[in-house]
Amino acid sequence: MVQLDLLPDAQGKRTYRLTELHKTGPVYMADYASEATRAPEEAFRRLPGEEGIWILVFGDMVVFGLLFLTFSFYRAENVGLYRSGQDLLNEQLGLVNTLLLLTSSWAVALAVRNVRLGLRTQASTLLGIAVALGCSFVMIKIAEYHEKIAAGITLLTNDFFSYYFVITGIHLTHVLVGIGVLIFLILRTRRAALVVDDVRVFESGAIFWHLVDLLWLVIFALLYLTR
Amino acid sequence: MSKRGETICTVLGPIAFVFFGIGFLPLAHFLPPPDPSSSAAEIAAIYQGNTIGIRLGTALVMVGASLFAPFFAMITVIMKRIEGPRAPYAWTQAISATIVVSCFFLAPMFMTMTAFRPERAPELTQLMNDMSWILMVTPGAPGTVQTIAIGFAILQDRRTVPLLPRWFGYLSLFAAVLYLPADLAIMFKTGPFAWNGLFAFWLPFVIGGMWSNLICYLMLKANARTD
Repeated sequence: MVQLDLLPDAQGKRTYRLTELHKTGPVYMADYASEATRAPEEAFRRLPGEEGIWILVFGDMVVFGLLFLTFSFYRAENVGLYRSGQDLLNEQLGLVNTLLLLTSSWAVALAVRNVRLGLRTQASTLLGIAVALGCSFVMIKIAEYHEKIAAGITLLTNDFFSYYFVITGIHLTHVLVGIGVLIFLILRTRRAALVVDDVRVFESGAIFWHLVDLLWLVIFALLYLTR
Repeated sequence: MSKRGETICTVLGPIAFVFFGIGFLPLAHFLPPPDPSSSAAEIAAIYQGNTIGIRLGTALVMVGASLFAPFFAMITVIMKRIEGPRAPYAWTQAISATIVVSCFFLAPMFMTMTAFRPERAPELTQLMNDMSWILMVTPGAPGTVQTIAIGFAILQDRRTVPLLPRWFGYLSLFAAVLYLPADLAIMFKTGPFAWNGLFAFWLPFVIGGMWSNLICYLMLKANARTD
């Protein structure tokens, strides 16, 4: 249940206060300033997180999109080589990593919800779980690299493995940055009181982690599975 | 406080790019860069065929690189304004920018040394050319550190209307990620990660150019403010 109140405002703008009603009492969510002509429903349709984070997210998706396109372009020219390379990848480890990231994304989404409800301990625990899952992803990735290098396969073996190491490497950098972001969020839950701006910070961090997850889903499909 | 000085230092950024453009494009013919997979004889032929153009062009690029010094100094000044007396990010920017400027200055310096005696043994010319171009694209890592520092400084601005807009902070973080693949140029002689490739050269080059002109415009607006 949500409740929308019109706040008294002088400057010709209407401000609506959105409150979620819970058993424990009302939880203040956000204030929305709206032009007088706009309907209240329009006023609380908003983008999660800060606007700026979407620049980062879309920019990153465009760059990864370009990476995927160049990969597909060169793959089409030499499908045999790319397939034989793909056969040497460890699909089980890839699948485990996919599940790890999906679960961590779920934990982060729940954590944001708990932050909105003011349940900071629960949010912190869920973020901790997400960090643990993210770290497991990193360790499995390193094990996978080690397996390849031990078998004599490196960045320079052939074009397929150049892309494999570069694309998964750039993604791994994103995972490491994302783990840093989640740790930053955990520290943020320790603040005395969380205000609406803090909720935005949690949403922005969560959006970045979902991006990391989404990119991996495409990478897993493209490198490991596409026949 | 010298507002005129601030304006001069700010607009020297785009002017530096003009020097880069004129030097590399019509004079040295280095856009696109020489193919790293070329043989020593082919590289030597490039320097023998356009000796004067390369000497003049690289001289202009050296001027352009030098003009980045006042431009980056101005970015440090505005970050210092954002951060106040304790300004770790402003100093990070100042020091990393020094490394970036040094690379962008030394790279054309090596190119002009290469063009100084183009009749030498082709292998030596190829060696000099390798040194020049790897120096030209390796500022990836310090450039990333520099741009992340700028992004962090913008995002921690506590003014109601920040000196530089928050979306530009996020854009800087995105640009910072983009500079990293430039370092892959040390591994590849062909493809998108070689020093004439999409991810090692064109993307950092285009995004870096757009980013610099944007921050120039935003700084001119911020310079007019007094807070």
